[in-house]
Amino acid sequence: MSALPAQRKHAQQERPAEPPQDADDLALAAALRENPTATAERIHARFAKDVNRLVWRLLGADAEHHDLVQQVFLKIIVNGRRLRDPERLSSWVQAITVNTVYEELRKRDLRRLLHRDTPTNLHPNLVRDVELRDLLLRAKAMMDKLPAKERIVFVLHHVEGRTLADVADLCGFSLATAKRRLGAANRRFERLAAGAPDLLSLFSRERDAP
Amino acid sequence: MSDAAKRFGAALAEALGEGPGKGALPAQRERLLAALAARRRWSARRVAPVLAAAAILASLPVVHRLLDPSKPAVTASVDGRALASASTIEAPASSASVLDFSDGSQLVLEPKSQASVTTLTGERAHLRLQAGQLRAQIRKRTGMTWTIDAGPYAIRVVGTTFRVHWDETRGRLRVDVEEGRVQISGRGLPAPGLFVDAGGSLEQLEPRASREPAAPVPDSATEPSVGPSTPGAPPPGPAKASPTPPPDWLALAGAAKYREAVVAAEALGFEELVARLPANDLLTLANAARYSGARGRARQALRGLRQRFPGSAPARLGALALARLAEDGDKDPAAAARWLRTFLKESPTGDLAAGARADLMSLSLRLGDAAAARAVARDYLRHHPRGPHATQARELIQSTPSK
Repeated sequence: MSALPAQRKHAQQERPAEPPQDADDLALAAALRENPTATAERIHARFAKDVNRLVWRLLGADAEHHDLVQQVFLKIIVNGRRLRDPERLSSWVQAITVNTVYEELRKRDLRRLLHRDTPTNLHPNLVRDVELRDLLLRAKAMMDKLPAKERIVFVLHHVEGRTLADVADLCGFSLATAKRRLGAANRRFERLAAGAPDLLSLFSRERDAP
Repeated sequence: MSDAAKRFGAALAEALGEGPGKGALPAQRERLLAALAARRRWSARRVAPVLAAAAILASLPVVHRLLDPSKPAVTASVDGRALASASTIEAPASSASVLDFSDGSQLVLEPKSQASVTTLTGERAHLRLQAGQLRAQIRKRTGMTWTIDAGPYAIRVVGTTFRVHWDETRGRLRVDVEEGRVQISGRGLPAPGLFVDAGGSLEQLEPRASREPAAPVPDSATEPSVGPSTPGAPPPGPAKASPTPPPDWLALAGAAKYREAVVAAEALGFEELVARLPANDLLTLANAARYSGARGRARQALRGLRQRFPGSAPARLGALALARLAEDGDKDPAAAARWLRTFLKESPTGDLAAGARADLMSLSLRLGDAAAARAVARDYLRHHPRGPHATQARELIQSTPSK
């Protein structure tokens, strides 16, 4: 279901305000609302690192990473005048990022229903380390089997280390929904991991390595 | 096993790192700026001829007549039935009556209240609240002037949401403004009237010496007359404005405290709220129940919404919410597909239609009904040829030969 986009407006209107951001962000938010296109370069400079990191983690070093980042920034600029609360600029940017990746994952879900053998592709930057590349490819293939709405919650919570309240806020749904989806994702992950016990142990080794 | 998920997540984060590296950022920035520049050129090329054509068209007499807002007459319906002109509406004792206007405005006449529509043209709507209470949600920027009379008072509206309570027996008027601004004039009020803004209210007692004979009220044998909704009449005198707190459950839902909102609604009587709330509040109640995991209550509120306000925008959204409940909560894709079809039948071109069609494509495939999925894909391309799922829709149509 398209729960994320439909609930985005609701989330922006009804979530409690965050602590104020620093003056630079407030000025940037004001400039974005005034003239989004002219602010594009500043917006990119301020959020490029955050957006890249979030897309990278959510999609898993994807071959289409840069296209997705481009889409996120275009959405930020095109919708800049609609930013309601300048104090939530950072959250708003993250929410757009999550929503853009979610839409992409939904498209891929649908594509997989059509073509069951859709290959999993990694970003070329990871060619450098063949062993790591293989590991990530297998992990990504496992993540690809989670439905978009569960994957987003799973990655934000377990990979990005966000609290469930934060996940709910970013995705625009309630804490109860976030908990329910995480529960479903954990159960599905359990079934998938049972079929690939070596992958979990490989990951543990990877983490334990000095 | 969530420990394993946690370990896996932490290890995956470490393996992935922070992103593709700083070296990629300058190229990203250049690409973004180039895309924005291309967008501006495209807009200029597209908008200029459209504006020129629009100016030429608007100058043609036939088009001018079509664009003239005074031409189309506004129509009204009560609880889904067409309303004859100069009609009087009496809300039953146990439920509210809903007046829907073709310009999108809506009036909810609370139980036991009585109102009449005296004028309804494309430019002006004039109603009289004879007794009781109504909530008005007037559509903005339609070019219409709305006036609601209550006893010797007139409430003039441009576009707003407010409640009016007229206690005919005591000559007491109360107006609570939720959005926008209203102008209230009449006996005892300074000319040209008082303005009340969003969040404010006005309470006014009609000076006793100047009371006119009572306007007709329902016969107490058939419909009980209306008593004051708030105890203790204020002393007569100039109007005062004060903020009006919303009902508790609504405030809680507004603060995203959905579970608490549902508990507060239960304390007030959930069934009663479903029977009497205006459409938008009922949708809020349904969503609060949905978000708090009270699926049964959510379904009850949504079904009440669809029964009481058929064809209204909140009721149409209710079909989409029922589809989500069926898929996410009940794990019933067939029911979800049925509700999505209902939603699309009622809102084939709304903002949410593209997403609903994409969901229906996906659900139809999961249900193993490829023919239905292809039909939805064709429908998707007809309505959203450049939609985010257009590629998948084309692939779906091409993947199996149509018969």
